[in-house]
Amino acid sequence: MSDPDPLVGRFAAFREASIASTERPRVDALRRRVARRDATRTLSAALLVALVAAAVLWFSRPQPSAPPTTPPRASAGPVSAAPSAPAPSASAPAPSASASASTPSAIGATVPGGVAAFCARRDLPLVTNSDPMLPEYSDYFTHCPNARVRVYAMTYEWDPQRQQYALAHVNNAYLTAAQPSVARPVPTLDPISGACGYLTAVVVADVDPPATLPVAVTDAWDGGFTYWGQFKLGVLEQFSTFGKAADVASRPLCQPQPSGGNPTG
Amino acid sequence: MSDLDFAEFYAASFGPLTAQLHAFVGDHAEAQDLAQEAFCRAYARWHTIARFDDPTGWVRRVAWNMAISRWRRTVRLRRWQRDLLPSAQAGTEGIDPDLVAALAKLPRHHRQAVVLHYLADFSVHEIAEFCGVADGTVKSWLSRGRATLQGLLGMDEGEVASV
Repeated sequence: MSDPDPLVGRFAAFREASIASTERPRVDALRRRVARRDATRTLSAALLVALVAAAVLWFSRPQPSAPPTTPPRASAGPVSAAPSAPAPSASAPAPSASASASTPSAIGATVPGGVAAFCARRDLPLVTNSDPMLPEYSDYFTHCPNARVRVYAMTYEWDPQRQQYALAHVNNAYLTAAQPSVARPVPTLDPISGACGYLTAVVVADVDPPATLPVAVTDAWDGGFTYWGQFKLGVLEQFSTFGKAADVASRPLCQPQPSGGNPTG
Repeated sequence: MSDLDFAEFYAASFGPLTAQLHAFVGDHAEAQDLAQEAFCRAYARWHTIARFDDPTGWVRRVAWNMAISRWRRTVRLRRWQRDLLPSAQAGTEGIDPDLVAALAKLPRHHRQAVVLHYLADFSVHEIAEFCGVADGTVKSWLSRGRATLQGLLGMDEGEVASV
């Protein structure tokens, strides 16, 4: 038989003393504490829901237009030998195409004016492919799927009788998301035009391009881009082989021909 | 069960539970806070807990979990307080300060086993279930805890009964 455990008595005394000195709150106090806690919890939950709702509303509000951090396209790519003069997009005509202003796109956040302004652009940065014969607006129509852009693909060739470049071929078409390219006419590489130079261009326009290129255009330093701007034409791509009018006219094959005569090589 | 049933349960269980927690945490006021919090949680779920075979067991479990959790968080602070304020419990009237001080020096598991054994009247097996350990482990804790207490309280080895 083991000895009685003295710790039993010590702990029993401790329990009695501890219980005796314990101040037990009334049940009502407990109930009030639980009620306060429930109210606090409910209020916190409501505040949290309100905060989340406010955050959702804040982030889903229409974004104001911001200055572009990067342009949508830096250049037209290796489209022919077109000079790097500024495209006349700033003065481009109001588009005949209907732009979709509600297209979800990152463009809206990077271009002044948002998607609508981007879709109204008619300039070189919209050309994305590297084939100078088939300029495409791939990115453009991704962002503006409902747009229709009227373009002219044309060729100016030397006209010996007039001693200037005249419109030789022209195609006009509407570019759309389904058909984002237009065939550019192949210049007539006869001895005269081949030797005297020619110009091909694809422009966005609502009016027919001019019938001739004045001498001043061929002599201009920018190869005619300023000239297109006068007609509010957006040049998408351009290629020219002409020189200054006087130089061309001095070439044997490019001199004025007798009326009705056929040029010969 | 109604509020009245809860009141009876509360009146019968609050004191003993507070005494256990007091012995474990070494602070009577803190033990009361812990017990009160445990009973608040029980009150909020009383419609469920009242159907249990042993509602006291639920409250005890909650209170001890909170006590151990709080003890873990404040163990360093407690050591510092104990060194700085060795007589912090001296003002608690009628309570054996030597026993409280001796319990405070026991390792946590030893102290828990000793408190449950002497103040909750748990058997070795019940302590083992409560702590989630084997019976043999509890026997070891109890044996070492009692031996340490015996030494700290200046008791003869022969006075302490075997488990």
